[in-house]
This record gives sequence, structure tokens and C-alpha cells, in this order.
Amino acid sequence: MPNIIRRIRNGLRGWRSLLAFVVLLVILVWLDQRTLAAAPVHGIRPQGAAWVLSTADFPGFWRRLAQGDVFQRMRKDWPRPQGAFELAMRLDTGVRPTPLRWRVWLGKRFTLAESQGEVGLCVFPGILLRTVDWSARIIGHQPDSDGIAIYGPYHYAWRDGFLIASRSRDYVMNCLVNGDAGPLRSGSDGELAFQWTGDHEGYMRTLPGPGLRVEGRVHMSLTDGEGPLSLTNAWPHSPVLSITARATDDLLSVAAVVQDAADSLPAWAAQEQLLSTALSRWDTSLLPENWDAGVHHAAFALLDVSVEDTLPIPDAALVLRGGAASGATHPLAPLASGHASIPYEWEGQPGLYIPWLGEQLSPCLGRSGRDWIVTLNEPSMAALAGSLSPGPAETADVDLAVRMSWEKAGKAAQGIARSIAYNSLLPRMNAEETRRALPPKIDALSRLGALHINARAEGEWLSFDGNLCDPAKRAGD
Amino acid sequence: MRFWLWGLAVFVCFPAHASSYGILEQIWGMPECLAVAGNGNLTLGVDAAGSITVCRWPGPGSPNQVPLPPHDATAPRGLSWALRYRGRTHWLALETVASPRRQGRTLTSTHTLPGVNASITQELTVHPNKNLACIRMSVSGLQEDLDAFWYADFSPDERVVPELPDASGLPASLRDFAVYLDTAQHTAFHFRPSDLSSIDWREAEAWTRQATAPPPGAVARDGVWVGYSVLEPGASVWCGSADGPRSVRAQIESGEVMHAASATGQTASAAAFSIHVIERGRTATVYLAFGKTREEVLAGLQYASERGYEGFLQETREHGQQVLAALPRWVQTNPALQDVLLNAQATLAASIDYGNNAIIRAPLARPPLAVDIPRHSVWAGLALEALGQTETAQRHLEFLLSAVRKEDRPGMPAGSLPAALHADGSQGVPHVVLDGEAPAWLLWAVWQHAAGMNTEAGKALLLQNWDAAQAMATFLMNRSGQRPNAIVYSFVPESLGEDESPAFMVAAYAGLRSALAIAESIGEERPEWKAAVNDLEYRVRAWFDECAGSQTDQLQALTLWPIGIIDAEDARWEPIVAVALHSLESVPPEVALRTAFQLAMLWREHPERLARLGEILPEIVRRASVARPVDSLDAARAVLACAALSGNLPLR
Repeated sequence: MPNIIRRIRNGLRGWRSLLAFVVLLVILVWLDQRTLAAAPVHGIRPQGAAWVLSTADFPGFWRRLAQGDVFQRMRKDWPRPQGAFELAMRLDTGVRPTPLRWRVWLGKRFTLAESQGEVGLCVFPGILLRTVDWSARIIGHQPDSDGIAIYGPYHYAWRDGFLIASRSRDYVMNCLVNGDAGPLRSGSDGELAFQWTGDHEGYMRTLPGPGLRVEGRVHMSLTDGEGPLSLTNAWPHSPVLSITARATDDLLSVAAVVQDAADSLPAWAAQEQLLSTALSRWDTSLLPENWDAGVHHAAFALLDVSVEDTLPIPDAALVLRGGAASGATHPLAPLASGHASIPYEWEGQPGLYIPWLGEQLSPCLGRSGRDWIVTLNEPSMAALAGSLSPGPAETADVDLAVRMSWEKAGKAAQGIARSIAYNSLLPRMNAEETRRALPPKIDALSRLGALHINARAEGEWLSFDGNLCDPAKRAGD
Repeated sequence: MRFWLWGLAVFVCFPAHASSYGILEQIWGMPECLAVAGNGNLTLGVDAAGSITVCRWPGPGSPNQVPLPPHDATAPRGLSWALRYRGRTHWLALETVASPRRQGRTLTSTHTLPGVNASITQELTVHPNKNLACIRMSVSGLQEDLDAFWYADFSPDERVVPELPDASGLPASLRDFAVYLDTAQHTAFHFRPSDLSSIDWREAEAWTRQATAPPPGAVARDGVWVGYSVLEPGASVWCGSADGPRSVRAQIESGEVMHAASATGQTASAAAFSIHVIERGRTATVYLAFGKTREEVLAGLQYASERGYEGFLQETREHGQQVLAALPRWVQTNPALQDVLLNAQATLAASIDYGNNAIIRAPLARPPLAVDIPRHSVWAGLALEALGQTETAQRHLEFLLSAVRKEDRPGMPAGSLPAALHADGSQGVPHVVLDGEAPAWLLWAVWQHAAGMNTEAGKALLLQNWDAAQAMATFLMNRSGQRPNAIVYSFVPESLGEDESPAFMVAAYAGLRSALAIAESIGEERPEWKAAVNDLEYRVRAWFDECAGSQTDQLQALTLWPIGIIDAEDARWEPIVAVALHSLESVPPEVALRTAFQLAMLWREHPERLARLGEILPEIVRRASVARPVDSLDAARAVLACAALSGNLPLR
């Protein structure tokens, strides 16, 4: 054997080989770090994507989330909330993702987007994946004439150092030819941002801290006022959800945004005609102009949801707080025209009971002090009349307040889950599988405390901040 | 299945008019089904193009085993024929319109093929007492060879979801399962086992991916099985997905058949036939069978193939003759009314779920009326009694009585019953819909039925159902007393909500008075019911006087006919009757039928007045059967009106 080879063989034995390996590893890690550090902050997505989820440091965010108090609270019932995602990735790529593996293979940058119904991902990998891809090309797995290659179910391509991947070839092509590499809302601090386009474009990004603190903006014009909102905390019992605004028009604007979002769901579209026909019974053209004059602010609350039968029945209320004059007629009384209605009295104040669909869905119009109240059933009116407190109020700059109790929402969701399981309404799952799958996840979500968002009107925009799952607050706080 | 059932419920159908289900059409769209053929288990319905868009099994109230027809007309619907010639595929559903007509006991539609001088005839026959159907296409005047395809987009499912009127409206991803072929037998099987788990899905995807036959474990499962065979020489079957660029439909349209032997998910299949010029009257025949197991389907197909097409038809004809012979004499000897009566009786027969004893309003694909609506179905029961089917009527009453709520629950007080029922007895509409008229008319119907039985049997029936009767009467008493000295409110279907309802006041009176009669017949006393009846009588009389003097509400007064408070000879009826008779020409056909029915009931003991209806009733019934050809309530009204004319009304 030639001497040089013998010398190399001897040199690679024992601690020398270990030292050489460590040195090589350090060099590779350094190269990898340099590569990742050079990555632009914002990834590439199609122009005009419907929504974008992005962060400058996805493995870091993932690690913080997994170790944070939100996942800790959920862990008892739902040990691995990310389990489905991990399994899907493993089945598609052969690798079960963890924050470390993600960083090693796909880097830190993360941009997930949807365009024309197709979803795709953009990352900035380190040297490992680049080396693997380069090796694959050498042995014959070349991309096509457009520069797009295939790995398993994914199409992928490189642009400006970014890897763009999707199950849709069109998505990848779109990014190559007409991709948007402009700034995203995620910034460089490693927090997660979700942004969307459309009539009510906006964004929401996470902030450091307990729970899931968020801030953001929505393109939406609401009333900018000065007086504090006191209805937010007026409910005698914490509702499932409450929305307080300065005017009833503002509540309608929020409802319109929710409806726009729901319109994209097939399940909603199927029922929309039925709901709109049922609700057409209430002819709002009968309301006079300025019917809500004198109302300082208004609140809608989902008090509860009856889930004892297949169809969940909401128990909701609307309260208009203002200078209700003694003896004045309820501002929504004209809606009862043309329908049977029965004079009623709650807490010594006159009101109306309007039969509609049995005792659970028959609106009641009443008043209590400065408040005009509408409920969907008589027991709720009896509970609220005389029980709404005058405060405490939010700070004066808050123009919209949204509160939700995860515990109460979870209770309603469990009832709905029972119906879903009983009727096997999840695709490809029978009743038993549904019963095993859904309730623990709902229990986990029930432990998330309260959603607590305050918003401020700023011309054409609404800025908001708060916490999606604050353990310290109840929905009525 | 009863031997006296019709093998086929058929209609004389005429060019379709716009039907009227009012607010239901607004929500769900116009009905597409023009005629049904059913035997109380298997119910098939066709639209104007001859496509089978209704395929309900194991009862007329069971889920539709084909997907809901799309609102747009760019895709073929349900089970339909296509023909390929001159390099192009023509879907009969998209390119032709035909009015189904009766020919013996078979539903027939005739189409003209675009571009060629040939006509296609489809004949659909449902076997009288098996879960079997036969669909035959005949081509005549052919001058060139062509290929015919029978496209089958089955979406099997057995689920009935409480409070949802029709689970057929569930997303496609929740229905269907798999299809596979037995190529040696020229048979395709669509099936969906009960209680499908994720493992079942993964296994099915594995054997379809491997293009192997399903393992014995998969085909041994109970569920919904649909199979069809083709026996013409040279005919073949294949299957695939129902959607996408390589769907079975796409293959038919392109003429490039891929001959897959199995598929999972949203699936479809097709049978291909070669139609040749050289043979006169070339046919393509499909035998269709349903069952809970594959063995049931195979047994059915075997039965059909042994008898052949003519044998199949012969059994159907013989059964139809037996049914005719079993009809009451007053039907058989009434030539002026016989056609409309036979049509109406056929509709009723196709609406009865003999497995569960429900009577479905209409087994349409849309709107979702394949439910038993008690306030309507009691009339169908009464019509069955008029036709001599007393046992069926009683079983139906027992079905309704079993649904009476025994305990108070939110929105569902004791003594009420669901506004609509699935055939399995579960609620057919959301529980918040509280129909006050349902228990009222049920009480009335129970009393009518019991009073027509012999004394001992009638008393036994009433004693057996006394608890339910008490609960219903108490409910009515509380409900009708909600507003002293005022018209009460109740659910009004036309407005999808509760409104002031004189009709409920009348119904409550009828129900409470029947409850009193029931109580008296078994030796019970209920003075509080008597007081409620008296109060209601006072209010009904006051309301009648208002109607009689009104310009716009007179026709409403006809709802008083069951309670006999105002004698038919009373002069106050004259202006009301005049308006009613005058309206018959101008109101929608189903409203005209309702008015004619009410007049017939009002005059049931006055033959000289009934004679005013005798000449015009057949035409009124005919027009209504065109507007709503598969409606059991209309059919019941037609039967009862005819029975009144003939002096055979089973009312006491």
C-alpha cells in the first residue's frame, strides 16, 4: 500500500478521527449558521395571497409555544396538539419534525400562504437540504424546464435562496414567476404573524408574554368615541362570548365581517339560505331612522348554547345602554308588527314576548334602568332584567371589546361533539373514533382561560390588542 | 311486504308545471322529481329528462341513495343514460326533455336524440314486493350504430340524522364508500357498511389501489348495498371516481373508458352497451337490487335474471291486478273518478314506509319532504281507510302515537309531538318547531278510527292509548288557553314561525272534543276539557262571523268543516262558498284541490250540494297531480273528496 494512504489511514484512527469529525462538524455548523443568518427576513408567496402565516424563526416560536403556559394547560387532555401535523409531515417526507430537525433541515424562516385555493410553504434551508438537493440533481433527479422538481407529493423550486414547496405545481410556478417578496407583518423578532387580504384586510401577530398575547389591525371603520364601555363587564354571569361596541351599527359591521369569513365554509353556505329565509321574518325596514338614538353603546352576548338535542340552540342577548326615558317604547318594538306578540312585564317594566319558534327561540323585548334588552327567550330576560351592572367600565379609548370564555365555549362544543359522534359526522371516522378524538381536544381548549381583546377605532382601521387565552381572566372581567 | 301493495305507483304525467311548495322552494329549490315508482321499500323517482334523481331505500323516508341533483344543468343527474355517436356523447339528461307517462304499470319516458332520426324510450319498473327494479332503454328508428351508457352515481348511506329533514343533503365526503365489479357476472356493487372506521377506509383504499377484489371481511359487512347487472351480450360494467378529470362521467364523455374494477370515496360506475342498426328495437336493460348485505343483492339479481324482463313485468302486472281487485267497490264502480283515484292511491302506496308505518309527505330529493308530517299524514291515514286499508291506517296511527312526548323538556312539552318524523321515529325537523296542530289532528284521527271499529276493539285501542290522549289534550288545553278571549298562536309552516293561527284554534277544538269523546267512551270524566272546548267554541264562532263578513279571509273559514259548529246549511256559508267556487279557476292547483276538498267535506252529508263539485273535481285533481305529482297530502285530499262524492267517507 502506498505510504501516503497508509499515513492517512493511520491519521484517521482513534482520537484524531474524533477530533477531525468535530472540526468538520463545527465548520459545517458555522457554514450553516452563516447561511441562515444571510436569509432575508420575509419569504416569497404568490401576489395577492388570500392569507399568509409567517415568522422569522419558526423553530424558535414552536419551542416557545410548546414550553409555554398555553401548551402546558392543554397538555393534560391533549398531550401533543401538534401530533397531527407531525404525523402528516412524517408520512409525506419521512421525517418527524421537531424544532431542532426543522431548523437543521428547513432553517428558520417560515412563510405559509394560500392563493386560489392552494397552499404552499416557503423556507430558507441551511446547507444540509441544499447539499441533499444538489446531490439528487447530480444523480439524475433534475427539475423540469421551469425549474420545478418533485419530492414525494410536493413540487418544489428555489428562488433567491428560498425553497418554495407545495402539493400544487401552479402555486410553485406562481411564486417563481410572480412571487411577492415584500415585507410581511412578522418582523424579525421571531413572533408569528397572520395576515389576510380582502375587504377587511388586516393582520394579527403574537407578542411575548403569558397566554397568547396578540396585536393587530383590521380594515374596518367603527365609531371612535370617548365614553367608557361599561357593558363589557355588566353581565351577571360570564357569557360564552360578548362583543361590546359604541353603536349598533358597529355590531352589525362586526357581524358582516364574521359572515364574510363564514361564507367560504361549505357547511355555512348550505344553511345560509335557510337562515336568511327564517330571519327575513324580522323586517328591519320597519325600524324608523335613528331608531337607536340615545344609545351610548351596545353589546351582544352569547349567553349559552343548549346542546341537549342534535341542533344546538343559542341563548343570546342584545343590550342597548343609553338614556332610556321612562315610559318610552322599546326601540325594536316595530319588528313585532305583523306578528303575534304578548305584553309582558319584567322587574316592573313593560315589555313584549314575541312567539317565534317555541319557548327557546321567542324574542323578548324589555328594559331595565338605562338598558333596553333583547333576549331569545323569556327565562334569560327574567335573569337579565334588573341584574345588569353599571360597570366596571373599560378605559375610555376602547371602542370595541371582545370577550370569550374558553370554558363555556368548550361546554357548548362538547355537546356539539356528542351529536357529531352519535351521527358519525366526521369524514372517515365512526362514532367511537370521534368520541375518542374530539372531547379530549375540547377539554384541553376549555382550560385556556379567556379571550380578551380591546380595539380602538383609527379612521378606516381598527387596532386591537389583547390575549387569546389569558388564564388570569374570566370572560366577564 | 304486503301482497296487496302495488308493484308500481305510477302517474299519468303531463308536461311539467311549476309546482308550489312555497317557502320550502325558496330555501331548497324547486322539486325536480315528476313521478315515482315504489313498493313501500324501494322508491325511485324520475325528473323531466327521465333521470332517476330519487332512489330511496329501505323506505320512501329513507336516505336518497343518489346525490342531490345539482342546481345547475351542466352535469348529468342521478342515474341517467348517455349515448355516444359520431364521436360525441349526448346525455339524455342535458339534451332532451320528456314527460314521463304511464303505459300499463310502467313509467315510460320517450326522448328524441339530437342529430339523428331515432327515439329512445326508457321504461322503469319497480317490483311489487322485492327490492328490485328494472330499467330498460329501447332505441327505434336507428340508422347507425351507437354506444349506450347507463351512468350510476350512487351515494349509499343509511344515516338518518335527528332534526335534519334529509341526511341526503350531507356533504359528499360523508356518504358513499366503495364500488367494485364482479366482471364475470357483469355486476357492479356500490356499498357502504355500517359504522365505518378509519381502518375500514385505509383497507378499502389499499385493495382498490391494488386493483384486487375486496377481502371477504369487507363484503361480509351489513350496511347499504346496491348492485346492478347487465345481461345483453357484449354489455360490460366498469367503475371509478365520481369527480375529477378521470371520473366515470369524464370517461363517458371522452369515449375513453379506463375499465377500473374498483374505487373508493365518491364513486360512480357505468354499464356500456353496443346498440346496432341491424337488430330492430335494440334494448339495453339494467336490473337493480338493494339490500343490507351483498347476499341479499345477489339473491335479488338472481331472481330478476331468472325471470327475465318479460317475467319481471308479468309479475308486476299480476300484482297490480290483485291490488285493483282489492280496492273498495265504490272505487271500482266509479268510472268518472277512477283515473284520479287510481293515481292518488298509487301516490299513497308509494308514500307508505311499510317497515316503520310512517307515511311520507313526498319522497322528493328536494325540498326535504321525505318525512312524516303528523298534521298532514293523518289525512293520508283517513284516505287509506276510505280505500279499505284499515290495518295500515291503524299502524300509522300507532306510529304517531308512539311519538307523543311523555315528559316536559325545553321546547318540547309533554303531549306535543314532533312537527315531522323520520320513518325511524326520530325528529325530522329542529325540536324548536312546536306544531300545535299535530296532537290536535292526531286526537281527532284516533277518535275517528276507533269509532269506526267494533265497540270492543275500539275501546281497547282507546284504553291502550289513553295516557297519550290525556297528555295531548292537556297540551292543547294549555296551549289554546294562552290568551283568553283572543286568537291563539301556533306554528305556521308558510311563515316558518309562530303566528296567530285560527287554524290552530279550530284544530284544538277538534282535538279536545275528540279527547272528550274518547274519555266518555272509556268512562272517564274531564270537566276541564269540556270548559276548554266551550271556550274555544265561543272564539271559533266569533272568528267565523268575522270571516263571513270579511272580503279577504273568507276562504279560511272552510277550515271549520271538521268540527261542525256551523251547520253546512247555515246561510252564512253562502258568500264563503261562492268565493271558494269562484277561486277554483284562478288559484294555484294545490290550493284549488285543498278548497275543493274542504267543500266536499263540508257538504259530505248533502249530496245535492256535492253535485256542484262532481263535474269539476276530476280536473282539479288532475291539475294538482301535475303541479305536485308525488304529494301524499294532495293524494289524500283527492281520495277523500272522491269518497265524499261517492258517499263513502269514513267519518263519524
